[in-house]
Amino acid sequence: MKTQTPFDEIAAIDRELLELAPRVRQGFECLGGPSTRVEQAIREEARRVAASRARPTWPLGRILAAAASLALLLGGTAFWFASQRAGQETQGLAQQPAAAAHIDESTASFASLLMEIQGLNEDGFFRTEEAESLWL
Amino acid sequence: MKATMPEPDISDAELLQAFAQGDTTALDKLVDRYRQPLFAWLLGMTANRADAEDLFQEVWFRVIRHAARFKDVSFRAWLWKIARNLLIDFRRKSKPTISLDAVADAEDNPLVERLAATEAGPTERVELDDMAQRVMQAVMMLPEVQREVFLMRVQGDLTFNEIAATLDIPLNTALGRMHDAMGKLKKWLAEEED
Repeated sequence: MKTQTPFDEIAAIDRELLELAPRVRQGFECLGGPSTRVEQAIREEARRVAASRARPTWPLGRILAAAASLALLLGGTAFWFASQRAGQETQGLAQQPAAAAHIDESTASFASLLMEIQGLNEDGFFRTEEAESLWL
Repeated sequence: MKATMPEPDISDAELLQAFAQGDTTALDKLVDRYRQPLFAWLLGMTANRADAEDLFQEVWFRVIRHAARFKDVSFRAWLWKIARNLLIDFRRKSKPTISLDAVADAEDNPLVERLAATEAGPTERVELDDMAQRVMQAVMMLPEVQREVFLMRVQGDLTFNEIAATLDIPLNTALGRMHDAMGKLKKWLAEEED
């Protein structure tokens, strides 16, 4: 007995279908196709999707990366300005007492010099214990 | 078996690719090409015109949304795979409204009459000859697993390898189901003629 392969079986089925298939197709064709409403909905969806594909869109990852870069840039700039201002303020505060002290110091030494010239400087009368012993 | 559709100048895959690149007329051509075979398969599987229309629309919506991802060799097999998956989902969500075993309803209207398009005018409606009507009734009486294979071959013109791949069954199982379907149809039609 000859063994029937799937290829033989397919050929046999297709031979049998030659008579039956046209009638089945004819039957379904007579039932009609989908309604125009359905076909219109398909066409509209196709146009909508094609239009949305045509619009230039940024992928989410790129948007997040851009937002992170911007935040980093703004944060960095703000930090730089803040540190600059803080530096200036610290410098200003540090300079003020030094200048005042300098003025005080120069005035006191000038007064002391004038007193010395006039022989009125009494600083010499007040000596420490160590200085006194040497003087004696 | 000869294909019912004329050999296209542009392949289905090329049309789908053209659509993926923005040519919407390419999709119109694809819908035209598969309107009748796909709708007939859905009508044969659901035995309900409204359900077949909803599924037909949803199948094409899926094709439209996933056109860029299509990498299969056969568009036809891909299309029927989508259709079958949607049919399975649809069946899970809803109970059948018409028993396929009932070839006539309570008012004695044959199933084929109920499935016919209601919007077509009298001039568009083609009357089924007796033989075609009997064949249709017999097809609708086939068990579902046999009917889906039979209609995939006859309406969709899928090869048996494509049918087996679409249904995730071995080739021999697909051939066996087809063989059984053909046997039943021949027997019923012969009985009717007698």
